[in-house]
Amino acid sequence: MSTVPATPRRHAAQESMMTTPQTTRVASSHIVQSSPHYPTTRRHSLYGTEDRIILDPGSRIWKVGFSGEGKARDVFYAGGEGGQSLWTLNRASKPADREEEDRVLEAKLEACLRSVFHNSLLTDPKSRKVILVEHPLLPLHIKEIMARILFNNLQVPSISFASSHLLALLAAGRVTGLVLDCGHLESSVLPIFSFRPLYPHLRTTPLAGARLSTHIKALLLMFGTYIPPATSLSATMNIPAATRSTRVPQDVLTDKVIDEIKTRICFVGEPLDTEGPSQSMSPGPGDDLDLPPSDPAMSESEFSRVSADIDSNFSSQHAGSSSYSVVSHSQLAGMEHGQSAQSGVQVLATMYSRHSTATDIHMRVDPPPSQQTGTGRGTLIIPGWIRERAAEVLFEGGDVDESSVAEVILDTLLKVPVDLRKTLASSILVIGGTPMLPGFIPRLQAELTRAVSQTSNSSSSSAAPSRAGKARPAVYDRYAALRPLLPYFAILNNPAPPPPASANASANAGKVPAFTPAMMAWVGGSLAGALKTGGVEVQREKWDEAEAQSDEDVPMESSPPRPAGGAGVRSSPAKNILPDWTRSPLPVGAPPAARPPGAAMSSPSVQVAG
Amino acid sequence: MPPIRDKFTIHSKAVVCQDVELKGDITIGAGKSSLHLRTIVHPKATIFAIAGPIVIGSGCIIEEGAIIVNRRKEVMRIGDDNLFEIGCRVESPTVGNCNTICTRARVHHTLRISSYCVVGAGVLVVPTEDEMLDEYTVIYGPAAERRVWSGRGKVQEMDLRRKHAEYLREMLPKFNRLRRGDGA
Amino acid sequence: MAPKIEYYCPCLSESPHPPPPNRPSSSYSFHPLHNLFFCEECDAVRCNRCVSVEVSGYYCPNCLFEVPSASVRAEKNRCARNCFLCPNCRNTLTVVPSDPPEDVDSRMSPIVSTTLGEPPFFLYCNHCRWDSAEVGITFEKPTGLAAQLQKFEDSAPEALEFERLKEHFEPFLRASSSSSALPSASSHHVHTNPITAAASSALARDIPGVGKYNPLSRSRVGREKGAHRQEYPDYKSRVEVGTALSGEADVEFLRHLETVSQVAALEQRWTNSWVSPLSASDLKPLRIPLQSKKSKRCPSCRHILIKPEQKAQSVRFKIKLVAANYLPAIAVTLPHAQAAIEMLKRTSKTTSAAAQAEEQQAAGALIAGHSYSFHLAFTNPLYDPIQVRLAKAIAPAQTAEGDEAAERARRSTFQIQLPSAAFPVGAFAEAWEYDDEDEAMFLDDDGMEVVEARGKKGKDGRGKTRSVGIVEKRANVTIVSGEVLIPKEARGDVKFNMLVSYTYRSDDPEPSEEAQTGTPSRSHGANKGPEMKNFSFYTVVDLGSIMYREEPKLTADL
Repeated sequence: MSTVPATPRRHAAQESMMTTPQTTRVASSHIVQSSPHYPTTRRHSLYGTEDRIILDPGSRIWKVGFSGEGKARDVFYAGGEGGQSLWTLNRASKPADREEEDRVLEAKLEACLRSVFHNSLLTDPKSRKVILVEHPLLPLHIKEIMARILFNNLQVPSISFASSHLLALLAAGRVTGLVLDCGHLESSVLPIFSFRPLYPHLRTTPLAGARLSTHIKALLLMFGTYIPPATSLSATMNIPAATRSTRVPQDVLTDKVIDEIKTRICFVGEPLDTEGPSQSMSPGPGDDLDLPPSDPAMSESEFSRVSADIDSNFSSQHAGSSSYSVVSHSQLAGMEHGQSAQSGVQVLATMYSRHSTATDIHMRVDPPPSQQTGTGRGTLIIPGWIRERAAEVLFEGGDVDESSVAEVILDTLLKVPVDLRKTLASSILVIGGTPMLPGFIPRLQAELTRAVSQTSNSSSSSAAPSRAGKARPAVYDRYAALRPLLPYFAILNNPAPPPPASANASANAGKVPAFTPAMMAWVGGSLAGALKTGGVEVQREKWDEAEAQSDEDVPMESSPPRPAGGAGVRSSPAKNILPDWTRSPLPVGAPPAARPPGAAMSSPSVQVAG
Repeated sequence: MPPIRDKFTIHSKAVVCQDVELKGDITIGAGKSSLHLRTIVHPKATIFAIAGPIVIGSGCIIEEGAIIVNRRKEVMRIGDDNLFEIGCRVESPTVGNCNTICTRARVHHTLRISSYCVVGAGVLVVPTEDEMLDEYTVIYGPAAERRVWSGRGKVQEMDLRRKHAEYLREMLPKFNRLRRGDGA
Repeated sequence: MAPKIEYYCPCLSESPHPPPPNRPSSSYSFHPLHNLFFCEECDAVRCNRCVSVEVSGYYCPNCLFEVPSASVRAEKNRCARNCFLCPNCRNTLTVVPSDPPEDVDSRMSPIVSTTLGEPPFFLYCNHCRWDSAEVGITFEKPTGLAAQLQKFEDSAPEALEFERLKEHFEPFLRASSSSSALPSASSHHVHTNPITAAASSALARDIPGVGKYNPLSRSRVGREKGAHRQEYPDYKSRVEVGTALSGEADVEFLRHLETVSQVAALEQRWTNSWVSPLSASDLKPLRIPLQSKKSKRCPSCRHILIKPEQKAQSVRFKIKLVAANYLPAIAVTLPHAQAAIEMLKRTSKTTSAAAQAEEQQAAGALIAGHSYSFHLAFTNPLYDPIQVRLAKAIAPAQTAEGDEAAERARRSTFQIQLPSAAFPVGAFAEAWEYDDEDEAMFLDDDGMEVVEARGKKGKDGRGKTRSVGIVEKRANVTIVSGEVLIPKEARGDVKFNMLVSYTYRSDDPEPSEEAQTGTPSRSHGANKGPEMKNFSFYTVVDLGSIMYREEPKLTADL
């Protein structure tokens, strides 16, 4: 009964939403038009009104600063000292829990945003326009909470939303490219052509910083060593460290410690098996596979404890080993028959450690709270191969739901129109915090090459190692269509570009400014701000208006539970004025890129709505 | 274990306050350059030669509440121009010259200190195996991080330390009774 | 954990009633009294989450120099004088002269005077002994260091590259602005410059696919252009990433790493937007960030709540409307815990601090199946006596469907009894501050003893009092006692919302009359007479968490 009047209203709302961008576009184009009237007045006083605030809010790390500067003013952990993330990919399923979650999130965001203005930037929010560097998959409810705080609590005059991928490309001086953002929660690839983000071709994978962290933790629990501090300070005799060393207690590996390991001492080694050597090498590990080394030091029960733990960490893994089957699936394929997952891990460990020359690192860590004796810190010994090979988890492909970082790029390339492929493949830009790992980008290049050049045989086994095996090789040759592009693959910000195989690649690989991957999006935002452009602008008046209107609508709004693209429990009117590409009318936007059927659309929009 | 036999040798130029706790075989102010430089021991400092003797060089300043303990049989040698700040505790078997042990730092007996080292305030240095600190090592911060000091400014710092000692030599006797060694 | 009390500020939720105390989000709505402000106009409590903040002055926290706001921007919110932070340990750096040439004589002579420093000067960290000469930064004179460093900063690669990028895009966007100013339907115009138009429209609006503004025909044009898009020049980087720093070197460096500290921590390099060396030995000194003196305003009536004095050295305020001057301060104590701590102090002098803290915690534990009394000490900041009335706040309407049962179950795990009658708290007078200092301290330290000494109620040391009511009254402090009864199966924290309302008689009705206008919460008091005022506020009382000693027994029963 009540839904009947509500439905048309919602349609109306959608219509208004459809028109809203148009009006703002006109409004902002006015600004753009007037830009010649601003001469270079940047220098003379405290911030002019044209100086905008660039906010790049990640789930963990925020970067803030003023437009027109080449460097963020402040970078900080938004979730507190420990570096917890503000939000995750999951939301509570119960409405009450979810509401509570949102309340906590809002309180935290409010504290962060207030501190940005009052402590980091020391500026009055009421006169500062804000450019929000927005990840395309930033959940709507978070975007809305941020907008609410900025408008209501801080009263900023306007917020512009700009896509992080696009901004990063801008910072690279390009207008066309395939941008991979490998952040904390997920990695996403967005093709951008002539400044147009091709959102329907957005692809994501949860293999990103957070996954790397859990992987490092799991590896350390199994292969790390911990030496507790001396039991008492007065003891005159020394027990040799070798006898005191233990397995790593879980409490030692706090998020902070893991984060330090990840950001300070981890790096990405070259792939172990390039074609030639892999053949000569495989007998070695192969022998190991036949006779799994039984490790007397670790009892079965311990192992299962660890692997159970790993299983819980890697929630979506079907087999414990698959999260470790990182090197070469062709080698591991055979192993999976009748081998326990644990020994598989062990095999990998021995193989990695054999091939790694990285030094073991001793790190001082706080002992677990239960064992604190006031005698200082314990020592955590991190094997060199973990430092070098932990990131393998990001390059391990073959999972349908969690494609590797390289695969996600290739999948995107498969989706984009054929005639764009060559251009995009030769201008890949890698941004985000995880690519700050030394060696990440060169490795990605190698992985791309490998994935594409793999013959159908091996790629079949890599795609489905545990399944039918070599039965249907042709079907699994996923990237056959991309093989002609092989010489063209080039990563724009590759610090160590391989010898170019084509003119395109040589013109692009490693040719962009040496901004750090993590900062690219922010720098792009700053650039957009300096150029007086940047995203859909939402004015405060408009927001206030919409909010006032919604107050009248409240009884209406609450009865129809779910708007089309809506994700939130609280249906707020704000949604209608916040720009959001997922809710843009689909048929109108049918792009030339829609050659492959609209299936591409489903996955990103589901992600956001979910 | 036999009872600790007290034997204090205090160089005539050294300034050791009365209210200092000494135990065992202790020599204070034994350096070559002792003609010029005096070792100063503030009141309420504690020097315990539990197992082996302790020999402290010249020009050292041992502040209030500092504790120096020798737990080992061999002689614990402390060189010249070292500064032991308030409330620190040092058990190192050897300490070279020109070191600074800051306030409330604690150095375990497994650590030998060479010269020009700094152990920062509140730092706990408990190596699990015997270790010798390289010259110019600086240990600081809650995690006992280490770095190597370039040594720039050391002349000025030593200067300051000597002035400090000189000042104390003048002032301490005015307000404290001094202690004399058995021999001196 | 000691019991504590916090005051409610309703800014986060719409309702004036506080949220249930057990929700994690509720903690953001409650604040310690000393963090709160009080707006006289609105007659309401304000907190740091809702006040609007204005900068009333910038200063350097190190040299306390007041920075004129004109130069704040150019200096990027950093001290432009001699203040630097150690990149290694974040200690402040000092400027020191170089050592005099080391000769053998200086070692021998007792005192060498090197008060006159000789150049070059460098920055020196007293904590970790980092010095700027390590990274090749030295100064000819010991003043105006920031200015001497300025030229390096101005020529920072990211700044130059940024300007270049701007120049690259500027004509491009300017051209597009003229085209996009025209109606977007004019495709022929777009035809002339499709990329620029797309740029402006894409930046102005995110479009799925290539966008709804582009009819297929135009998009086709765009694609054709894309095929030979070389007519739009590619940006030529000033410094290319491939040549700026070789990635291989970083990998090799990490591969042969000896200690963690060789690599700069993430926090030490995350503001760098330009690729920079990983190694900790390459870090540069940081200029100290400025801080600001802030004035705060009430979010609804815009009146100033806090206004600091302008001078950086001053710690005083021109205007200071803090809640502590308006609301009675409440302190919660658990007498049984205090008594136990006293006992511990007397018996075990030698135990380590950590162990002591542990024991204290055990002593102050709330064990399931017992009942405890707690004391609430009200201190009146007003110059008039007040009448306080307490009530346990019941959350208004439990609309939350799902967790209501659970919520209620949790809530009903313990029962709180508060004195129901109003009780007086004496007026504040400056004299109290001096007179009763000793006694007050005595009381704060071990209130139990005072109570016993006064012989109000006969209690044993375990605090098994059954009394709910006034325990003690003196000066401007009144202590009342409440009781908490914890059933055996109770879990979680003993935490409850308490509504405190107080009525006071004002001696000078003049200013308060003013304040009374338009303050709804005081209208109650208006009936009783013009000089009676009433104010209520919510608090959350946290007595600590429940311990279960009989846990094994309980499970056995089950």
